[in-house]
Amino acid sequence: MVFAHGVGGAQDLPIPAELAIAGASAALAVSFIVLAVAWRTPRYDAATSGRRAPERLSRLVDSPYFEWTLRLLGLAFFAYVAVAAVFGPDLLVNPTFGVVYVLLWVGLVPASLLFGPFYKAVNPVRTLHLLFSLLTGGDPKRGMYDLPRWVGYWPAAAGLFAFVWLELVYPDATYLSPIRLWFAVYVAVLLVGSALFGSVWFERADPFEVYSTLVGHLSVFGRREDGMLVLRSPLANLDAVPAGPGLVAVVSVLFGSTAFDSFKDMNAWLQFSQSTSLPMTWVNTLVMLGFCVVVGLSLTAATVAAAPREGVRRSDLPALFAHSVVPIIVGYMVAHYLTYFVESGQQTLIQLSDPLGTGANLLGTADGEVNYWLSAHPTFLAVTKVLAVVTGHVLGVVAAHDRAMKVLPKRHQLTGQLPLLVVMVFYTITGLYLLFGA
Amino acid sequence: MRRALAAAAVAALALTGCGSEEPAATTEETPATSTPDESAVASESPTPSPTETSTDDSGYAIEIEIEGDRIEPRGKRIKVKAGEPVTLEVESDRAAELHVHSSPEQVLEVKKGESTSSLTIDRPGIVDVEEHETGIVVFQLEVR
Repeated sequence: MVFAHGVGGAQDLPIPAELAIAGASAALAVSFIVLAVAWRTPRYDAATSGRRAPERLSRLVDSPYFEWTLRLLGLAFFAYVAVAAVFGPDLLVNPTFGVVYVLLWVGLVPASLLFGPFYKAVNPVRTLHLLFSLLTGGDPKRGMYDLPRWVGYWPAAAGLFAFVWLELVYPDATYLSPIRLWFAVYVAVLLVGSALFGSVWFERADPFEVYSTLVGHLSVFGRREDGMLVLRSPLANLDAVPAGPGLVAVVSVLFGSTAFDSFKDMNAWLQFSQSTSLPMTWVNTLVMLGFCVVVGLSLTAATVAAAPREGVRRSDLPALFAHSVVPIIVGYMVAHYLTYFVESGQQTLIQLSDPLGTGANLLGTADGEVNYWLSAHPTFLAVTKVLAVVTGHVLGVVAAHDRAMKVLPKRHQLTGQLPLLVVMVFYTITGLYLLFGA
Repeated sequence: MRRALAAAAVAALALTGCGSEEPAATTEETPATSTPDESAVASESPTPSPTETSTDDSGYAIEIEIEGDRIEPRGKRIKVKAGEPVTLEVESDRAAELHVHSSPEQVLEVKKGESTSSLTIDRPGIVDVEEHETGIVVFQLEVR
């Protein structure tokens, strides 16, 4: 029987109401405490903050050996999974599904929190681009054209939406051919784009790299503008997120789609989707898009409400504040995906040992068993989730406060933050409600 | 995402587990869908286990009607306790397969006519029970 290979099907229990309410109250209280007592001059400056990383560490990280070891490992892993995706069985014992939906999509969050821009370092398509440039003798940074500034992060936002659509809406997401097609297009778009615009294309268009680099700003590793490796607090590091067109869209897709994922697990939605004759793929597409649009519009409306200080354009304000939503997203991702990552992640590591379904044990993990400790301790799990959401909220509020000190004029530095604060409380309480209502 | 992955898990299971060489798989003696070391055990028995005082725990008995593509209930959420058996009383006009999306997965075979099955989930969580042919989630167990 293939039972031993099934990916864990049970979902988390809803969090208890008391915990949800306690979390929401804490978020609300902390928000106003920050507003009332926090510093009145900007504290984080990406250009100067941080302590120089130990000599040995920066020498290691900056050495070409280290860089290429990571690059080749990333490329080898990509090739390994590609073989499974092309030649392996179209069944869930195939590790491709777990690698794409669990290790890549969810795993890049903890990896980036720990190591900074993790995906950038292992990005297999970036490596291919570097190798092509080496072969042709070209400069990988330079393409045939300069990427126009207005493009910003919009390609990444579109790529992220395409991925979450595949994951959360497309009914055949767990068959191999749609995944192969998706990644074939992904590789093609990145290779062509990087040939046209140079390697900056990856920083603007690769959904996984953009996501990972954003989350990596919550790690302790950063670089100053001259490239020096520094250690600094996640909040100081977050200040270094380059604002640009489309950044609001990126955070909106990330947050909106995850909220949608919780929403569609609610029993009421299940009952509705099973009793309606509407085409559910379209309905789900529209609802997911709606979630993303609500996030984007509320963030935009709340940030343009206050007039900025001189020298800052009002229309740039949403992008200048978008970084502060990143901790809220990460907190919610942790809450939403923790069990899934831990349990299905273990399952994927087991499956990776037998990529072609031939009974092989290439990595020695095939006989492993999934540890379900986390599912078996629902109270611990629920408390962890609420703590993650509240922590994310607090970091987000502090980041927004510091940015307000920088871009809002003195006379309404505090009142100017209020709309965004209200929106953040709304995000967090909605998130807790979804965790409670699932 | 969890539900989609789970659905495919069972699709995989159905493809490999219920291949052409297997009969229509409706016989009573198929509790063999689970291996002994599984945390959750599915079994099918003609009579409810006499050791359980199932009469007072009537909340743990679920009636299911299958009439072609029409299935009742649809997506109902039922609260149960971990480790306590749930009795399924099924009346069906066809053979059917109920996929239990616990971790790991379980399958209950349902034969034409009236039958009774029993299901136990050992760990807390939300577990979907899906009729395979239609993909309808018949009910969800909220296991505490």
